[in-house]
Amino acid sequence: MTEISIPELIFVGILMLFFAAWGWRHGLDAVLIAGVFVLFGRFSADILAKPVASSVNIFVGVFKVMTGGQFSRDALMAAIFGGDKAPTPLINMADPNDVVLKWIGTIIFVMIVYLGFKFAFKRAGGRDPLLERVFGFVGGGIAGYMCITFVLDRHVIFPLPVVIEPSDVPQIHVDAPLLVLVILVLIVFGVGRAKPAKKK
Amino acid sequence: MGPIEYLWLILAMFFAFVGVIRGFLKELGVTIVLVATLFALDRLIPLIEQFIRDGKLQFLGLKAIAPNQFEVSTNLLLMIVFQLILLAAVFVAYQGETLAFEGSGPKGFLGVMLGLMIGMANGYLVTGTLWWLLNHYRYPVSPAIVDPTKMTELARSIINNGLLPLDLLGGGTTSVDSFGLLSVILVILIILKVVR
Repeated sequence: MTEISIPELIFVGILMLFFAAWGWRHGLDAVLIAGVFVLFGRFSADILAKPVASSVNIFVGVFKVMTGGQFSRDALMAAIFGGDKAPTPLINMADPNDVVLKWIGTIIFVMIVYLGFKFAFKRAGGRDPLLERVFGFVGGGIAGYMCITFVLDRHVIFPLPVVIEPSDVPQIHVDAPLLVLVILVLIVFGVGRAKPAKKK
Repeated sequence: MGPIEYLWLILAMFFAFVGVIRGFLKELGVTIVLVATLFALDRLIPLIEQFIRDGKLQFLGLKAIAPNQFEVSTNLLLMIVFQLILLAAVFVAYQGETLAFEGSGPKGFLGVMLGLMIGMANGYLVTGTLWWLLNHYRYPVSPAIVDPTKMTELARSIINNGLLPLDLLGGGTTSVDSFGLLSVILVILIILKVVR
C-alpha cells in the first residue's frame, strides 16, 4: 500500500490544474472532444487490456519455451494455445486485480487519453471567447479529475478516514458538484453554438 | 399502482421528449425559472416549518405535535401549497417567454442531444421535487395513491442516498446556513443569459 501524507483532494486538485490550464488555452470545444476520449478510455481500458494481456502471456510463454531448453512442437503449441504443458503465465487472466493486468489497462487508458487530447487540439485547438475559455477551464478540470481518479483508484490506496457501516438500502453514490459542472459545461457549449437573434 | 420511481422516470422522459421538440434554448429558459423556484423553496420550506414550530401560524390551525412532527393535515396542506407553487412556476416557465434565450439553438444531432439533456434535467427537477415534497411530508395521501410501506428497494435507495433535487442540489432543508448548489447554478445561468 502506498501512503501519501498530503490530503488526496489537494493532490488531485494540483494535478487537475494542468488539465484545467489546457482547457483554458484550447477552449470548450477541444475539452469536450478530449472528454469523450476520456470517457471512452475509462470504459474500454480494462476491456482492451484483456486481449493485450493474452498476447503478452503468449509472447512470454514462447520466450520461456525457447530459452528454457525444452523446445518442442507440443511445448510451443501449449505456450500459444494453453494446456497442461503451458508455462506459468505472467498475467493471471482470471484475476481482475492482477497487478500487471491493471498496469496494462492503465497504459491503454493513458494512450487513449493522450491521443484524444492530441486529436482535440488538432480539431478544435484555436482560441475561443472568454466565456468558453472559462468553461474550458472548468471542463478541463473535470476531464483531469476523471483521468487522475481513474489512475489513482487503481494503483494508490488512500487512508480512509470514514467507517463504512452496513446498510439494508443499496448505496448509490452521485458526485453532485461534478454532475452539475458537466451539465453546465455542456450548456455553455450549446449556448456558444447557438445563433444569436437578429437585431430588429 | 406501479413503483413510484418508474412513474418518476416516465415523467422525466416525457419532459426530455418535450425538450427535444421545443429546442435547447427555450428549455434553458425553463431551467432558470425552475432553479430559481427550487432555490426559493429551499429557503422557504425551513422558514415556514420554523414558524409552525414556534406557533406563529396557530391562527391558521397549523401547529407542531412534536419538535419535528406536524399533524397529517398540516403535512398535507404544506405539501399541496409547495407543490402548487412549483407547478405554477412550471406553467409560467412553459407558457410565457420568461427567460428564454433568444436566437436559434444548435441544429441536427447536437441540437437533439442538448434538447434531450436539458429537457431531462427539467423533468428531473420538476418530478423529483414533487416526489421530494411527498416524501418530506411523509406521504400524507391515501395509500391507494402512494403507499410508502410498499416501496421498492430502488425507490428507498434513491430517497436515502439523497438523489432527489432538494437533497442533491439544495441545502436549506438540512441546514439553514447551507446554500447548496442551486445558488451556484442560478448565478451561472443568469451570468450566461446576461453575457449572451
